[in-house]
Amino acid sequence: MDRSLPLFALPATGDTPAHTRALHLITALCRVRRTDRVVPVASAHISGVSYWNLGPAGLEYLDELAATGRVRVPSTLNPCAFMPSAPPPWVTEEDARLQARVLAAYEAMGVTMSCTCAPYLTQPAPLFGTHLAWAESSAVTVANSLLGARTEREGGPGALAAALCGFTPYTGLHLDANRRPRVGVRVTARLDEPLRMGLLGAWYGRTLGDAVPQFLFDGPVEPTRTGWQALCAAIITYGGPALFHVVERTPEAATFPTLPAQVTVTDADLDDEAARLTDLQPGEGVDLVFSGCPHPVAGTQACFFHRDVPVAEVAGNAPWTLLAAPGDAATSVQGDAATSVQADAGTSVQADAGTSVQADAGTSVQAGRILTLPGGCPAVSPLPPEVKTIVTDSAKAAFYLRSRGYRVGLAPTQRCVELGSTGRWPHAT
Amino acid sequence: MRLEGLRLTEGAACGRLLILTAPLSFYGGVDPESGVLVQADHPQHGACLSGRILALPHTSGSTVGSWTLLRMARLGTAPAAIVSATADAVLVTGTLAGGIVHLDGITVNAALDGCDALIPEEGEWLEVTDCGDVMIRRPLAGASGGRPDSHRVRTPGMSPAPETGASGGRPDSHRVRTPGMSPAPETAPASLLVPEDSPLILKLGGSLITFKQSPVPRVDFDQLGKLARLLAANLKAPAVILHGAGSFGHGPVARTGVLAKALDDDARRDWGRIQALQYQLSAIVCEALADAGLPVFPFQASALGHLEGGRFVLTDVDALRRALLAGFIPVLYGTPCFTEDPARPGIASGDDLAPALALALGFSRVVHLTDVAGVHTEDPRKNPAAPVIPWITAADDSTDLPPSSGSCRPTGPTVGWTPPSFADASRRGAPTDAPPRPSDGLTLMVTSHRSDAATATTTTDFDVTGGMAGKVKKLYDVAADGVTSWIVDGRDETAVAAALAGVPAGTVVCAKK
Repeated sequence: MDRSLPLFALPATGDTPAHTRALHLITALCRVRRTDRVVPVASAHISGVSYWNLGPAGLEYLDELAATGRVRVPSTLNPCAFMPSAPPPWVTEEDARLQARVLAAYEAMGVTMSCTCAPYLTQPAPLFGTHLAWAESSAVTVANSLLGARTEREGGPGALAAALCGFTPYTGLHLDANRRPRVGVRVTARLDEPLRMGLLGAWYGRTLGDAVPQFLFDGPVEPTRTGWQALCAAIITYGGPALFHVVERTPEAATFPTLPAQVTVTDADLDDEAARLTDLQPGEGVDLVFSGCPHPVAGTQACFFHRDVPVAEVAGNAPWTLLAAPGDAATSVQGDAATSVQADAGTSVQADAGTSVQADAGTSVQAGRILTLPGGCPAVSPLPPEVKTIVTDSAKAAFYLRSRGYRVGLAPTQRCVELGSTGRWPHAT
Repeated sequence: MRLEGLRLTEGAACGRLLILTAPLSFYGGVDPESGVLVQADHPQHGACLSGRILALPHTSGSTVGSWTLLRMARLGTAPAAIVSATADAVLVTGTLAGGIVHLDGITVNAALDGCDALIPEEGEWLEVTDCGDVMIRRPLAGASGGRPDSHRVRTPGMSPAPETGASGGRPDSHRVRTPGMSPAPETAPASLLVPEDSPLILKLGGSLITFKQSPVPRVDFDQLGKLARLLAANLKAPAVILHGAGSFGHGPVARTGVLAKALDDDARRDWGRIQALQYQLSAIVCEALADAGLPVFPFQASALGHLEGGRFVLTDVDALRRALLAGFIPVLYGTPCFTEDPARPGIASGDDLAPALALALGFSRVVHLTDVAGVHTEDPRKNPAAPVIPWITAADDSTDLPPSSGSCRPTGPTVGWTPPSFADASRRGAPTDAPPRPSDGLTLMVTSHRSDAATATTTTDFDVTGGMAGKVKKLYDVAADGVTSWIVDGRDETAVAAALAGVPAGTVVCAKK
């Protein structure tokens, strides 16, 4: 059912100054996208939460909107740099205060303080066919591809404006015609590990660009839920579309005829992609291990907290292990075995190894620490200044961390745990 | 001069034009405190944006750019206005939040840098004073799908412009202009904008339908099929289709040497065989076009006319008219042809046929689908970065040759080409005293001939009928007669759709008035 409206059906001025500004932005975005129709949205997901992305002018803009603006549809918030109530040890009080002001502005507008890039995990997931205005690219891809909802890849202000007035431009992936698959891709590579799914997304985006693919998973192993998230996050990060179909697996796939496979993706392709995305040399030290991009389902990071192994040994030689997770108490990461490690809402938990371990060449270093960042995202947050090399299990995180100048290694989650322990990028196996 | 666009934010502005020739990332690319462009690799590095009317193709880089613009506005270092070719959400968020006047859908010729300009309060145009020539690229319909069919076509003296925008049209219908406040638009030559249902001559380049470099005649079936489907989807007007010969023509002509040979029976057999080859190619092309759904009907040009002074003269136009009236799309092709000299048959290429057909049938537009994006400022094979010239205007008298601003002069692959004068064009019937032109003798038409021993036997990397320079020159000639020509990349779906819809794309060659 087409629920779109002509743009002139919207009021020229809103109820409040903030509402008016939102209407003006939606109108301008309609013109930029060359449409004169808008569509009501069921929810909005807003990015632009890290103060380090907004800067002083962005914060000022939010404060002005927050003075009179209230969201008209359920709205969720992307991760911030860190929860200001529990700043990691390397940020200053001023940093925490600025981040808190951003959150306060959104809270004043009625945005749910979800602080996650996976709102479909913490809030009721969007229904098939509903129109949304979502800004976080990985969540946009999940909503379009895995849930069959419809959203363009909005920017932060566009999603906020949609939240404030309830409408979004009726273009792009809101329209049937643009959701049709364009290229048939047969995947024979094994997809048994979330990282492999991420590599598939990175490979596709890099080689085939933004044509909507129709994947046929022909490999031996089923992807996991975290794997699906990794594919969604990586494909759009590396220049791919915000929508893909997988024959017999995604909800809209049956709507379209099966395309002949024009491309085949093999294990070798994904191995090449992993090598392409890894900067670290064998033997190079690992300063930080990062898992949790996108924010995972509760419990999936438990492997970092072994039941039988003391935290000190798990954390091992890598100075930091960061685990990002939704900022919501109900789903925050619980190291179910490590009773001392609990991520409560807004409380970052430090599992301090508390012991010095002997590193090579006789240098004494501080033992590593596992730190959960509920509601945070290392890609947009300040990191300890001494960190130069990062190991992650996420192709998307690798992209953003590399663009910030870090040297990155990609490894499956289980290997990340081990690398945290050894503190060295391994020699070729 | 007036450049029409699409208004994104309210307000009036005036100032000196600053034209950026490359996309700009506001975040990191501009110092908000000083307003200076600091992006190291940017061609306008060091320019101060403050208070200028800033024309730019589009923005690149981080979404944080919105906040940089807002910060500039708050600090008073922002541009007076922004004129973009294709804005995105980042740019418009910044201009709207910062209250910076913003028009979209306008590309400003870099030659206008430094000119004074203004954007009136209620206007959707940029008024440039003291300027040479301009180019406009009209906004295409939504990048994601949709044909660019919503553009209003304006003719001089019609004001306000008729509202022909159907659904999906320009989203500014609430802004109604009264005749009193909008003088006749003088933005672009009127001939640049052609109604999409106006009949056209459509030339398919030989390199699009055959492997032009192939030493033996060889059809590129993939490309031909794609092209046929693209045309079937976008061709809405009555049309005559012409196709080039590609490897069915240039190779055989060069190999047999018929153009240089005396006309004995041996040469006659070669001529006949070359003609027969063209039948074969045309049969394949017609089959593909018909398969895609186009009602095509093949015609042989050498049966309808002859060459005279290097120009094709269409002596029998009646059959074509009848075919068009009956709803067919006649298909013709470059072919050997007889000339005024019985001893020297010649070749009427698709580029020769296009203007002759347009003039004889009274069609006002010719669309050339080629394998390049348009006319480049340099040979794109040598310099892939050479930009496409968006339009070339033919002057309406002999003194006013192509605009003197260098960027508008076709400096195509032929060295030393001089624009023809139109006094000359008017003496078309008596070409004897005309200056030499590429079409004056077929021996002059070979533009380049790779003859190094290694490749000469296997490759025919040349065009016996004039290449791009010859093409442009022929279009330039007919532009004075009101025929507007497009040169676009036949593999670029958007460009083809735009050209068929009568919207500027690739390079447009048109009359100045």
